[in-house]
Amino acid sequence: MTILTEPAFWVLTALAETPRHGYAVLRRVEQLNGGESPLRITTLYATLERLERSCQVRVMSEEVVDGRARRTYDITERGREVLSHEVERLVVRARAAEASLGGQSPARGRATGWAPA
Amino acid sequence: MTSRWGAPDPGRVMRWYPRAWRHRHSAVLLGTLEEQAETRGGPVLTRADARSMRVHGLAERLSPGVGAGLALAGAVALLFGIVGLVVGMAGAGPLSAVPAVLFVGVGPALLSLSVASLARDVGVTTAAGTVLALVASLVAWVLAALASFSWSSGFRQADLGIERTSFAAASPVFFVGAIVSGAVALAPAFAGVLRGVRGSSTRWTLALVCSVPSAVVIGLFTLAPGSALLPALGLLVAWGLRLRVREGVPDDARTMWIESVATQTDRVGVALDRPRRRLLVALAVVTAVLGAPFSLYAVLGGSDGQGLSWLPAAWEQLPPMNAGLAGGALASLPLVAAGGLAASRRWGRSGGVAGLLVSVAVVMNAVGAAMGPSGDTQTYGVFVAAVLVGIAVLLPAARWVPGPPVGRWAVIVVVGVAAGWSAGVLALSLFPLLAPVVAVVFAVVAARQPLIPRGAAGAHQPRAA
Repeated sequence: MTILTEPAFWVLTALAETPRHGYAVLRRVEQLNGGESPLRITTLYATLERLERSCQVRVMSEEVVDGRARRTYDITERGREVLSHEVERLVVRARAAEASLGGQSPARGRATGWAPA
Repeated sequence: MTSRWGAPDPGRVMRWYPRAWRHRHSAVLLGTLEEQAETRGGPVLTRADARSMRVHGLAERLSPGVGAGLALAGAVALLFGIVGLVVGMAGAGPLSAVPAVLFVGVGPALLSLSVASLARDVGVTTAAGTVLALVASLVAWVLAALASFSWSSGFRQADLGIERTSFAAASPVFFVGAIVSGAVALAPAFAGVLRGVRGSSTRWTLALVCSVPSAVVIGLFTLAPGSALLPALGLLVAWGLRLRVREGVPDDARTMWIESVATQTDRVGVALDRPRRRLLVALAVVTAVLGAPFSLYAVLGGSDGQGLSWLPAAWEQLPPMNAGLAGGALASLPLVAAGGLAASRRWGRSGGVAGLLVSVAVVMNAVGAAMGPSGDTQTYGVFVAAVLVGIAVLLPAARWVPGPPVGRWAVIVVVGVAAGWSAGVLALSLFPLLAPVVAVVFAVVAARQPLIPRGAAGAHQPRAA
């Protein structure tokens, strides 16, 4: 069973919206985390390579823009399934925690970090 | 590793990655670094980025393919080490330490690196954790080997009654050092497993708490005799990594395959036709009836000096234990045959072959016991018989091993050999004594098996593994 690591979670989340190249993924993950990225560029490419090998993302195109190599990635059906499964799992946990707190979740309404299981 | 201006040179830092990785990703990664630098200002590569690239580069070098090679090399080193230690082929010459070095140091170290590769590939450890595990495990096994040699050296010197050298006296230091390094090597994996625990300090404290006893157990298990399972573990890791290289991460395929196996196993019923059920019960009863006197004779025969009067006179010459074990082993053959029939019903051809292998092992065991304590020939015979039992027990499990047939049969044989080597001797020694009891249980279970309704016989034919 492949473990969905925190970097993999964020990369899949960014690509689930639309196909993106490496730096665009990094920027989107930064936005989703309130301006602070949990990813370094090195981690991003290590993660993308592993996700590609496990058929969760695929290379959509490669091009040179302003003299720089750029590779655009897209999420696959399998990647969507894995991400959906993870979301369901997190939602169940979040609901359980919310219920324990009597509906007063301190996390509600602000950007929160994600703690992978 | 820095350019003229003091900032790290991306091209040079990139060399920490393996060539194949550089070929595929370096241009894109450098382009992304430049884009980031342009947006934020500053150098293309900060020192923190360079550090991260070095760590990731090293971790990428421990790819699944490399890990599979390391696991295979580790298994071979361990096998050579075990064989060398058992047959004492190195003697007292300059090569005398080679089997021990292979068994205590080289083999486990290579195996540890392959496990680190697997942990990285399945996402348990990060790149930094992998590099830490890599370095710490190498240090740990060097220290473990030193601790082992130092301990042996001290033992020998004590036997000779001479003063211990400082190397011999240092074994506790090497031992503690090995445990600490081993715990550091294991901690990233435990931290990965415990990733659900919030707070990195709590998580790492827990990881270390788990790592220390684990390091002790792994170290002692490796040094203990009979740890022939280690090479088998190496081959299993190699097999797993090779599958990941060949098929990516075939979770979907594996899930479908497991489901199909489960369905197939469910389909293979345990119901028997009436003649077969009678045959199984009868065979077990024969063993119970014939084997009980032999078991009693083996255990109690020497107490009153009386043999079994109905045995051939030649058997009277054997010690009661040997005569009882030999007779008990032969008397257990009907039970083994019944087991083989039941196994072939449940698991197809592999079950039948397993029964046949156990029968051969039991006969070899009987011959060995009848020959009495006759030295090396009997010892080797017992080990061969034990290995046959190990393979036989694992044969039906072949259907649960993923991958192409040649590979999974090889895995089963190798793990079976290791299991037989480790536990088969004990099992074979006890089997003639316990066979009558096992036979009674078997007969009761067989008698309670459901019968196939008339006209439906042959409807549930198991597939060969």
